Amino acid sequence: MNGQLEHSMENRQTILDPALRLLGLAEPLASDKDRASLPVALVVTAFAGYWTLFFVMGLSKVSLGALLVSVWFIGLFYLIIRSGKPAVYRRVFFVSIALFFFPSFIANLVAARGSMALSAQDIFANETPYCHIVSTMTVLPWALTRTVIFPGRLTGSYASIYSMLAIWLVASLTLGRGWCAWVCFYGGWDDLFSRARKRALISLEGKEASVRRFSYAMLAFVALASLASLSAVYCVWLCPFKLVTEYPAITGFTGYLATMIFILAFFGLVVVMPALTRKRFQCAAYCPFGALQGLIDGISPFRIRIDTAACIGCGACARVCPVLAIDKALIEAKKAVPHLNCVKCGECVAACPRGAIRLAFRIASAPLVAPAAAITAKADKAPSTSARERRMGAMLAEIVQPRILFATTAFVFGMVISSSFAVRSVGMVIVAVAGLFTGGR
Amino acid sequence: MRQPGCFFKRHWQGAAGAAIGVFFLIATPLSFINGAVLQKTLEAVLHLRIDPSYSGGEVMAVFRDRARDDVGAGTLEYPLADEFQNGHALDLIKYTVHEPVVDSRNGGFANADRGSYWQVDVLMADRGPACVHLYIDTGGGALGSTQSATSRSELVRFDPAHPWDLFVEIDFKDARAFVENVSKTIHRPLTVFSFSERRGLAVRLPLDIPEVQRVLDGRSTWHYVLVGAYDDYAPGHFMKTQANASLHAGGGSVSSLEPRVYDCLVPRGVNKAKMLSSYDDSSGRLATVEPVEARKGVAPAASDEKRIAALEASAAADAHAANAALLRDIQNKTGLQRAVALFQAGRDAEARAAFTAILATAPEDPRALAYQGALTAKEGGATKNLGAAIRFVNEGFALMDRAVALDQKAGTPFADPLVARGMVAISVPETVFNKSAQGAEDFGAAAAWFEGAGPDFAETCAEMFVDQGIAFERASEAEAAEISFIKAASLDPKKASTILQLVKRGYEE
Repeated sequence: MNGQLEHSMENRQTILDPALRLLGLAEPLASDKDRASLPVALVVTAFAGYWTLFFVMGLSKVSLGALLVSVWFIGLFYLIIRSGKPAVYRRVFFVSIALFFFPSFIANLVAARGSMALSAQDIFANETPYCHIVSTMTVLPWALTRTVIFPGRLTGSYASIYSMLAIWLVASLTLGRGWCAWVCFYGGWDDLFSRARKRALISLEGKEASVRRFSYAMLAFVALASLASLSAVYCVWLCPFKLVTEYPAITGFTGYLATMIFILAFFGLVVVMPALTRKRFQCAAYCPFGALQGLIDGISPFRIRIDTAACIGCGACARVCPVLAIDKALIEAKKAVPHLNCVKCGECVAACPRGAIRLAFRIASAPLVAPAAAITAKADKAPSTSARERRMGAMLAEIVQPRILFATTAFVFGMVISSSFAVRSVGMVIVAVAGLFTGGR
Repeated sequence: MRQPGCFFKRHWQGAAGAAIGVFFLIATPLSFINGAVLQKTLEAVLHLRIDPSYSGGEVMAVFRDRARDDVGAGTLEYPLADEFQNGHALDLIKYTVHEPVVDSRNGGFANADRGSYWQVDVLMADRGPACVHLYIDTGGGALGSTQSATSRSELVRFDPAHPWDLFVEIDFKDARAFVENVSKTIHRPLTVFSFSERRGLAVRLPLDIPEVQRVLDGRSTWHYVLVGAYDDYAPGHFMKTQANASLHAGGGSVSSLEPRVYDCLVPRGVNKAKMLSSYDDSSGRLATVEPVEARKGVAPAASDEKRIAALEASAAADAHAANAALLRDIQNKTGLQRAVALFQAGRDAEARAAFTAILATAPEDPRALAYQGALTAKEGGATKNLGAAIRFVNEGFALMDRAVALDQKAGTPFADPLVARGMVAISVPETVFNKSAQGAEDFGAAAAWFEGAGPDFAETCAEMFVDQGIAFERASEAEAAEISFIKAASLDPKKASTILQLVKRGYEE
């Protein structure tokens, strides 16, 4: 510990060092892991940056808001890849998605219908925005009745049923439950409030299995209750995010009761419990979509792997896991993979003092250990290989590392989903700030 | 020494994982760009439909009416008040009867209209102050009436074979409706929903009304659908008609007994003008109107596959012949005409050169600019580089936008810039460019242009309405598309390609 501190102090002799380190341009600290080499960071940032500019600027047209959003996203991606603290900047990216989403979504609703309230007219017109969570309620009733029991729009690019199904399909094939840590426009709220306190007031240690079981029970309840009542029960009664999206117009006692539940669910599950437990409580225990993604995570090519031989059983990973996918029992049982509800956020990777946890390809029987170094070493021994070829080989080998591929894919996915929301929200802020200075003229 | 590639042999699983990972890395953004393709594939596989009880229940019967026939017996004119000057607000386009819904699932949403109901929808060509009277014979037999609910309102009498027992008034001006039974023991406001930008209203008749309950056993019902101009102070809210239109009266009436009905549904084989002219001035007998029958099992018109195949062959032959004629005539043409002919013949490189030459001497020629824009956008379609393709299309639209603006400014606009922009709008991917709504607007304006050019252009006008319908379909505006297709069908098109589009959608029988 003292050695680390001294090392750290040495590296902070110049004023510029911290900033350089943040950007990945200074020598890494001993604690820095998961940090791409500069050429690789530049290459993948160029790739992600191209798509960012394509989706943010290309589709939203060039504006100050689009420019700021592009800089924000590209900057964050570079930091995720290069700063050595991918979990931290992933969190910033993820929270920003949630914060970008709600003002823009509400503004869209107000523009379209003059209110956040969902009216009978919207239901008649099948104009209720469809979100990914609804899928958990519509599959079984569809199998039974061949109809979708949700009054949403079928086609169109914005919050339509087919567009969300397409997004769900691609997300499941690529990120699996990584959706819940990189893309979901609700999850950022939990992530934000779970960091509100430095220490947890309520410890969930020893209760992890119960929480996980509850989430699957919740999924089963929501799916079966929707089948039994042929209505989207979670949307109608249980959704904690109505407060920041839309809610039914209160026209009677049932509407009043539902609204009370929505308010309590938001503050209880998204604000208070995450703040008290330092865990993403709503995502871990309550969200049926998260539970479903966990169950089908097997079709994603990426997963977290634990090198059980290197693990010293310190429990740091379990302490930081925001969704209770790693617990003491799992560590003691020397299991090589976290529980199904792992969201691939990378917190455990950053927390492990032995570097025993990595993101890996599911197909690999054992984690790939530094193939870049292996390839370079191999190439070094080959007399016919030029220095340039060796460098290229090492770079390519680093790019195809699962952590780089996953972070890039997940970032691009999250960025695309939130790009138009982000531009609109930032644009609204710019207009508001400009209004302050110009007095609304 | 180990051979090169041993690393991958030993780490084949990792290499395979990397290949999959790289594939998804590339595929993820592309899947969003090609989201429409993915959505279409899902559509083709899943055939999803929303539970119909949210929007009125399964459709029992659909009745389409010709467009532009809002002239009553043949001569009626709209009142002169401003609110009637916006298009064809009294032109009935479609009437839909749903099957009754028992214990609607809308109850799932706490605010929604719960319960059991029977819904009918009325769609007009344009938004405006129409007053629609529905007289329904639900099978009450002798208990029904052949007189209007309010005397001297529509000035019609009803077919004695089908006396009505339920009356519904739908006020399009304020989007409200009420129901009355024949004995007037029931008079209730109804739940009304609007659709297609208030051009359509759906009304829900509660199933606790005894006359409405009769529909539960699936029997036929007979519907008289009469459209008048809304007037707060007129009997039955049907504005009067007289010889000359005024602010508070329609015009063109040739008799004081002529029905005040601008449009109505007629059963197959019945001539509407004849039916509405069946009054008798000498005896004072009112015109007798006949109902349409809504029967369970009468599905909306389906398209005919054999006819579609024949029309496809004719359309292809027509296109081939037209192209051959174009190529023959190109030599005889000069200037803009030649450039346009080259464009239409698909000789893009020559067309581009010709338009460039025209623009060199007349840089603000709106038609040359529009075609040049269309060619630029077309170039985007042929480019494999995605970024370049998008740039080409955007550049093309910029040129066409300029062309349309210049054309409008010129005072005597042509249809070409609008048609060119519309055609490109319905050809480029909607999820990327989102241009279909603008395309629909362009085709609407072009249709108005051809309509104004006289009856010789009726065929082209029908084509414009078909393209407008396609644009609306792409923009997910089903009812607006329906209105466009009905307008096209009402012009009795002869061209195989136009009829083909209509037959495919069930608008031509």
